[in-house]
Amino acid sequence: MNTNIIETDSLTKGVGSQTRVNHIDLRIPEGCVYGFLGPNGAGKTTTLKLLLGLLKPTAGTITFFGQKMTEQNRLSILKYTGSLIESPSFYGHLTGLENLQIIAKLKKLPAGEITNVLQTVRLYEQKDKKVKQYSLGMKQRLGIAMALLGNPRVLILDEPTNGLDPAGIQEIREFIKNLPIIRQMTVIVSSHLLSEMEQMADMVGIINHGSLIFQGTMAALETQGESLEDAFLKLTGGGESL
Amino acid sequence: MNYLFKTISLELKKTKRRGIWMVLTIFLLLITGWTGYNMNDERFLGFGWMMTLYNVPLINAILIPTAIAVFASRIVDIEHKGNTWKMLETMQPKFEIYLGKVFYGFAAILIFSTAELIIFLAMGYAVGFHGTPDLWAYGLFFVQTFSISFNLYLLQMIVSLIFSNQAVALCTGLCGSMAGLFLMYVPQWPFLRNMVPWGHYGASMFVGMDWNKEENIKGFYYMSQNNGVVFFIIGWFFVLMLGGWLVFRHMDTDGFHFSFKYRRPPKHTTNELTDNASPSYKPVKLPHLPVELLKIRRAPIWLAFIVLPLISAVIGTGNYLNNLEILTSTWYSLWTQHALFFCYFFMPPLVGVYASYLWRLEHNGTNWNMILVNTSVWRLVLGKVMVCAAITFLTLGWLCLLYIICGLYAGFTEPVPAELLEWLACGVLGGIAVCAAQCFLSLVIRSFAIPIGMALVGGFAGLAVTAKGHYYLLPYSLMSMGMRANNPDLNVNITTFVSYSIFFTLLFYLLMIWYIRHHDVRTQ
Repeated sequence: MNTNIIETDSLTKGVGSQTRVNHIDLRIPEGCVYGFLGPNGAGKTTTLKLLLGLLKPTAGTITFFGQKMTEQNRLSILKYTGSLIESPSFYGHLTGLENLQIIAKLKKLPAGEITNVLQTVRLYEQKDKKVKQYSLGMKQRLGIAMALLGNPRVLILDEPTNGLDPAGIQEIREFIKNLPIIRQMTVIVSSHLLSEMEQMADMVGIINHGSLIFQGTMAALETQGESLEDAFLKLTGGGESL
Repeated sequence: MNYLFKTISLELKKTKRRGIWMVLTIFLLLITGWTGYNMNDERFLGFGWMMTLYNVPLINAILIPTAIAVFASRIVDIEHKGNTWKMLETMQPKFEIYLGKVFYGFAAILIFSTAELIIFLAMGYAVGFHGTPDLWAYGLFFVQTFSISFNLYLLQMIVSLIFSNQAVALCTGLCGSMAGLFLMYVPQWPFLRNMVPWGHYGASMFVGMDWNKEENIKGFYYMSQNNGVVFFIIGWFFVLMLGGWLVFRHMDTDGFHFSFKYRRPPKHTTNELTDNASPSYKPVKLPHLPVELLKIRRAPIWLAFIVLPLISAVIGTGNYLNNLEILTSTWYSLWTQHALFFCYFFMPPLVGVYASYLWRLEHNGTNWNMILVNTSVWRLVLGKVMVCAAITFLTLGWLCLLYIICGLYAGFTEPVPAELLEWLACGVLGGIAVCAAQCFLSLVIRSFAIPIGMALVGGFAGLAVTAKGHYYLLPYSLMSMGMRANNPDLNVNITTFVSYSIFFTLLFYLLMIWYIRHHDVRTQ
């Protein structure tokens, strides 16, 4: 957990009152679970989309694996990442298996990878069902399976427990927590739930109104207030929805 | 009355910023432009009022069905896309929701028909048609346009309701429109004309043209309609109103499942959270098909691909066989019967359906997030254009195959024209340019239906520039010219043709790349 696998410098999206992300300097160490925390509308998803090159930054730079990301090298960098942004992406008229086959073909991965991820997210039995017939939780699992395909070095998950039942939420949290140990992955996981971060994250970045207001270990966060919750509320202004 | 206004105003609010009225306005302008471009020709002023009553239903038959398919799709699709059925059903009785859509269409078609009537009356006076219009005849024309168009609206609305995938509704509209237009030229099949609601524009025409080769148009005359089409129009209205309601009543909030009759027994599946039995994992395989082809598995676009050329072939051949005394050039005469309307008026929207469907796959949900981190823009766009081009090739190939089969059925003893392969090759090359243009439109405009409407307008524009001799000005004119749709003897400069086809294809391909690269990803 020494070198930073991802760094951003003055990453900005939008101008004036339309600024959604404001001069963010992320430092994400390799092999950790980095919790990206903030109230609704704080700029978490925008930042994650910027990291993946889905949005064009107004200013600032992004460095992945020590390489500055440009339009030219974006895809070769993203080959080593997996992501689930906003909500799961899928072709509803195709089966879960067919959706994974498409990703595997795009990433030029062997078919065996598909079986592995289906087993991992426990969707193997449902693989031949059309995705539009999946429950919300099953779609979320499929989204995670798609992100895991190819065993990426960095996994970016935007509120991955959305739509899961309590057992599923706990299962996913445990799974994410173990990824750096079992698969040597770095995981960036966003959430607006502090309790969720407490269970999973080694490092945390807190964003509010587009600005990064805290970045450090969970222990360092705790020193900001009487408790973690107190520290978080103090940093984000308290009264806003989490 | 108050309820009616309340319902319509609610639907108006829902469709705000959807550009729905723009669709009808553009089509009205197109009808006006097409019918009115030679209205002030002195040769026609003497019988201008009658000529208008002859021309407009014809143009209506070609344009209104597609306009209505687009219009109905836009109205219904907002509920599918927003997943609002379940919300609406907790606040309104189901019948009210249904009536809301019906009333909105009723009002729109009424305004459209009235506007059309007023425009043509005003244009007649403006260009100085002799005499005064026969108000009874114009009244009848208005009633016919309104009632036939409203029936078509109901039909399209029902299809759009049943199938959340709007490709089905648009394909139905195109197929019906084609059948209706062709049936106008087959008076020998009156029952079929009456049966098909798209054929009612032709079946209810009450003005005929006195024409011969030497003197051209001599005048127009009233015809009596003894074909019983009125009863068919009324019958269809009741069938569609009641049938539509029955279908909607049995529709679940997440779509129509034929649940009242044909429910499929659910397959046994294990619950992954509670079932502890360990499943046996069989290895999965990767299919060899390209990714873009994998995505269109089970796609409804194959329906239009098969049906549309089939309609063109069956009715075109029927028309040919019924007019053997005029159509004397066997294979060549049959070709114009098969290809003329198909290539100018139906092939562009059909390519539009293909392109819209291909891009809708990515516009849906958050799919852009997934696709743009896994593949390059160049590869993605190339894949879309290539698949669109492949289906276009299959469609035109299917048209040619049907042409040969129909020619053999007609008993031609001469060999199949050797030029057919060249027509097909040129048609496909021009078709690829249309694919690229439509792919660009469907990428930029996220609506499924609007680019299809634009394709129809493009087809017309292609016809207009061809008539003026500017064959290479639009990709739409290239495809029809390549297929020699209106003249099998047309000499095409192959070098120029190929150059322009490649130019348009490259232009729109690069425009797509530029658009994706310079715009942030938008997800639903």
